[in-house]
Amino acid sequence: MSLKRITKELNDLGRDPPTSCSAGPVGDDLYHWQASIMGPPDSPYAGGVFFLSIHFPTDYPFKPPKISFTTKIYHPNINANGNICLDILKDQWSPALTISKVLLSICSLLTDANPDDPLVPEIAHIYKTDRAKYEATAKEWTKKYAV
Amino acid sequence: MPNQLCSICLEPLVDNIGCLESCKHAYHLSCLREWHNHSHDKKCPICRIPSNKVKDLDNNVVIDIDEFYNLNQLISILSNGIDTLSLLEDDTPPLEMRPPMALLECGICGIMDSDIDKCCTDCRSIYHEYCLRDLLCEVGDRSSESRCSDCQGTLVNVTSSPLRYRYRGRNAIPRVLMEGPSLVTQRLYESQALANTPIIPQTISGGNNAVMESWKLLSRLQEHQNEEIYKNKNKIQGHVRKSLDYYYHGSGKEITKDQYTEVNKSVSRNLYRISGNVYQPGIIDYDAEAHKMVLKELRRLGIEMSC
Repeated sequence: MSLKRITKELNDLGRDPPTSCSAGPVGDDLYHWQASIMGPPDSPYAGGVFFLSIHFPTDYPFKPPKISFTTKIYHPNINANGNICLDILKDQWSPALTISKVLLSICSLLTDANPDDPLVPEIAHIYKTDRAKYEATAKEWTKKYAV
Repeated sequence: MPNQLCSICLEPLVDNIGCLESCKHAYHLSCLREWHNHSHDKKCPICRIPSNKVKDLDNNVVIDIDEFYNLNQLISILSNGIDTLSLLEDDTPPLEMRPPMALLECGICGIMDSDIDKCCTDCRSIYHEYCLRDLLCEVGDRSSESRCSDCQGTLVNVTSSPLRYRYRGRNAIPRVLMEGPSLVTQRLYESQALANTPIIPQTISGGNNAVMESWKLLSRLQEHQNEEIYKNKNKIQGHVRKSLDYYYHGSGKEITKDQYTEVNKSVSRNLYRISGNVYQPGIIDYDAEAHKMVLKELRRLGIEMSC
């Protein structure tokens, strides 16, 4: 089932591509995709293009895909390895979610970080206490790594 | 429900439809079943509203999700114990929990065990590598060792995740459900009675010791049983081969390797069935039976044989 569904999602993405994200397989392996997200305009990531790698488990869509950033990003819910702390990629996963929906969720995570459930406590602390400093660093990293 | 897609597989909802009672969201029943297998809450994948019941629209029956789930648990313990346990325990399973291969039968010897290591990517038949090798040595050609003996499809190694293929395959669950309690299911019930620990309720409440104990017991029972079956089947197959060798190695070399394989398989299976998996040389004249069946099979293949 997984392969059929992944193919279907790929076709849907081709037919109706979401704004600000793109995704597709790396090479011949349909279980391994690369995706890109444009930094949302109302966020310090604006202007940057962030790449992500997506690995589908063989029992997809019953298990969530493994998604991580390959572009460095300064964000309280994304760590240095690119791992994303997002509930829908873990216990809140639902088989009704698609890659396109997940990427949109990641986009909104970029706009609205969740400092109460941080993956990088230091960034979350700065986010909460000194928002200007957080935004400056995020912008700097975006310029450095994602432009 | 015209033009509606199942949100799980993204395929159209034509039949096999299940509708969740609380929110009325519809999916394929098989997709829902698979999802309940993976998630132990009863939330709808779309709206996350919990439902206690699902309506089978094809048959117009309402199924209680707990029962649905128990059934899933049983199936999944039987066929995919490791996944279930790791899902419940949220931790890596202990080393002694080898991937159980309960419902998997080698397409050649018919034995279910964890040594199965080849799977056909086309028809999803599974095999022991050593059975394939044996079979091909027998017929003197080893070039096609990597081909499925059922459909000639490509074989892949499944050592690390043997269940994904068969269990996720189309026929896995219906097979369990439709053929009544399989040998393995019966053993499971027996082992439950022996251990006096109800597996299913324990699993659901999150306690895993009982499951583990029963599983270990089940594995031991199965191992023992498999050894017996293997011995019996080997003896029976010996008769079939004896009968077939005459045509294969005989003067005229009247049948091909593929025909040998095919006939050997189907006749052996028939004989196993007739004997109830027990070798009964006193009751059944295996040589004569095998010979009769071999001739019948060959005739079916359009080969006329002189006796």
